[in-house]
Amino acid sequence: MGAAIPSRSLHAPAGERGILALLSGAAGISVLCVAGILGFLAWFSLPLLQPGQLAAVLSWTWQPTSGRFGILPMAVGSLLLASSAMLLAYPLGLGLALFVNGLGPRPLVKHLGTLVRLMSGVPTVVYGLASVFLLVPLLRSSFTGTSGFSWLAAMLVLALLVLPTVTLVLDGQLRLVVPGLRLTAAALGLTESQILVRLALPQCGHGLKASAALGFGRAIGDTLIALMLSGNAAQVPHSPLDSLRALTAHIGLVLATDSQSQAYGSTFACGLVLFGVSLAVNLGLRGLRPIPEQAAVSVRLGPGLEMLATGLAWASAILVPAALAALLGFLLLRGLPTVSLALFFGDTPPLDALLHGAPVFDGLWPACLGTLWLVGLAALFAVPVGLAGGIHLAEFATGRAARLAAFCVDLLAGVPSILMGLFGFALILLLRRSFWPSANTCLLLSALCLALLVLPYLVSATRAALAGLPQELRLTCAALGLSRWQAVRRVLLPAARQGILGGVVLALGRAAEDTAVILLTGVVVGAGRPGALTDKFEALPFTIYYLAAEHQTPQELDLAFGAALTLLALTLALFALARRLGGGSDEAWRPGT
Amino acid sequence: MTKISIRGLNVSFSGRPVLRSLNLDVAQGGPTVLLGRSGSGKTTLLRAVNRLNECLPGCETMGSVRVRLGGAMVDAYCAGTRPETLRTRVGMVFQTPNPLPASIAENIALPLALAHGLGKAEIAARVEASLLEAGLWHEVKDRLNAPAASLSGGQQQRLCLARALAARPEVLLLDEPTASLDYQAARGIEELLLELASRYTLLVVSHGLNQARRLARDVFVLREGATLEAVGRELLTDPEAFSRLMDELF
Repeated sequence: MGAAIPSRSLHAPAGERGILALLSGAAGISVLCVAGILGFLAWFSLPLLQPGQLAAVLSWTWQPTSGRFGILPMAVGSLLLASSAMLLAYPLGLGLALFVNGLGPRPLVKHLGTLVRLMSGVPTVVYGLASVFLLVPLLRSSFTGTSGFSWLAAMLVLALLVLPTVTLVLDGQLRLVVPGLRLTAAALGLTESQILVRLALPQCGHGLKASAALGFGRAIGDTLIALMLSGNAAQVPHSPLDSLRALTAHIGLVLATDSQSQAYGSTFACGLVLFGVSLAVNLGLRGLRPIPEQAAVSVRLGPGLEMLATGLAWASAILVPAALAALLGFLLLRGLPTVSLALFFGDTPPLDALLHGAPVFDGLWPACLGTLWLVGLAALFAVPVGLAGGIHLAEFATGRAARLAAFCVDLLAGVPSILMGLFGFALILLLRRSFWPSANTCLLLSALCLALLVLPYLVSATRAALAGLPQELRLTCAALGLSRWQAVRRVLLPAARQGILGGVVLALGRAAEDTAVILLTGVVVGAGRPGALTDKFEALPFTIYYLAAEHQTPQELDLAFGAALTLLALTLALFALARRLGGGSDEAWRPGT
Repeated sequence: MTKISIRGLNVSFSGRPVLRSLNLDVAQGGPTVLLGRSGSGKTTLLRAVNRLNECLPGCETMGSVRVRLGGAMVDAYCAGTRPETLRTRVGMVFQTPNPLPASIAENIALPLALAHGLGKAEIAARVEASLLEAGLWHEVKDRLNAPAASLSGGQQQRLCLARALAARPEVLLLDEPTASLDYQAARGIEELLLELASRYTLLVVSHGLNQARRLARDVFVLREGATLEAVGRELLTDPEAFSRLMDELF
């Protein structure tokens, strides 16, 4: 008999057990976050359960001045806007996916693929700004007697916003299916369009449904496009040219202007509805079977299907780049002339502002600083927790707890960002009512809520990067006698480094461009450079949003376009860096909601 | 009579040459067997005949490949030749069985409907005929609607053969058709090929000299994508020469 094995090799050493406990704690935070958001929403919606209150909220009139707080028009508005945007985005996304998977000529395909990925890096507020000054005037002059701010305007831009989500999910699915079929089918004499339409698409049932669900979730969760373009009249629209108000925009509008009256009570009901929708989308996605069903070919359908697919592919490949070029070209046209030192520092000498903290009044510098602080703080909170949670889910979690945590991470990723803001807002309300009467929204709160927003991206990216490593690597480590934590720390994490870093950079980009969260948690205009964590602050996306609606002079509008260009450059740079690092699976980047 | 005539064929992938100025004449019937070390370009040569290399990224083909189709030599690469049409006349069986994700019957019916535009009655007749020809009919006739993936490896390969035969091609390209099969199944396919050689021109890439000896009427050895050497039948039957070739190739 050999020597007894020392006991320490049979049990994880105490230090290691501590680390594993920390990791699972980090994964537990996602569960707590979801529970927290739901808990706050429910708690603040409780007063609505008093007699008569619920009926008042579930009514068709929103007139806070006369005490009527019906949210049904907004619910219908959200539904109409999201469905119509999807109705437009879905065929276009399908066309693009088909185009890049075989129907388009190869040189074009490469550029189009890059373009779609680039689209997913454009901040929502930038789309909003360009549309307010390009699309809306166009609609106004085409349909006289209307303001241009309408269901139609919001629907068109929202479709552009969710298009990358739809396209990338479908493309990912087709990429799994097509290569295995191409040689076989081509050897049988089938054309490229026959392969895609008759063989590949019928096998993509899962992707077809998942892209619809994800796209719808994105569309209904978006705040900024609805807020900036739909006109925000609390009514049920009768035509696409009428104004409407979405639930997300409603929350933003009510809470940004007024936190004292009874009106805000009903916003939590709106929040509950939105949360319910994301829950439904998520559960729906879970219910989809990823395995293609048998007999997944369609010969019987009409012979025109190939023609239709080819036409759709080409139409999408022309329309989408054209729309994007129009919006971004307009932005460049208006933004580029404004770029100068004065754009950032106004009349203040740049060196004074940079080195001595001299106040800047007519420049973007305070907003840039605010955004940097926000992103830095959010990363400080979210990155350690996100990485630890991702490691736990990929390497250690098992059983029901693991499934619950994974579900909560997915759910959190799908929750509209305005709900993170609402969560922060509710937190302040609670603090004020309890032991901190002077609590107010501030930089720290915004950063915390942003951290909540990017947490699921970090967890998912880390998890995916680790899960993508070959299983043999773990077997090798185990065979060499490494403990599981040793294997993770010394071998797996270094091997997955690039993917994880890519995920972190994407999360930074996401934090930099979000507007909806900070809208409710302390961002203002004219706060100057951030002094303390409990101060109000400025940020680039909010500056753009605010100036687009409230600019007093052409110079202020120039400032908005300059800010949009700066933000676009920042997020695209981060996006390019993330792609370079090889991180960020195609679905990971979902900009502003 | 020459069925396939290849002149000055160059194929490269992303600038890396795989085949360099090859010439080859394949006689009608056969089987003609292509031997060579792995990586010598046998599969690429085979795929050059039905233009399948074009489906892979970064491929560039130069030179001429002509196939006698319907009595006339057709330039496979000239602008007037549709690759899809060419592939319906020049069938192919892959190294690993590659059934489509559909039922047994649909595997054969689908290309007939889509690439040949045939009607229902004709398709049904051809499904049965080709399965009979491939020796699979009696095993599957009661479960034609079962998934093709439910067949065994050897059965799947015969299904793929039936699928190729159903198109009534003039040439069959076979890329190591028995490589992924066990001994029994492989011998079954080989016997089938010998039968088929009277009706089709067979060009077979093979991994084994023994198989070549059993199958081949003509044998060519491909070396590093650059030279093709005809090997006489006597070389295959002469034990000493045979073992020299064996040493060289494996």
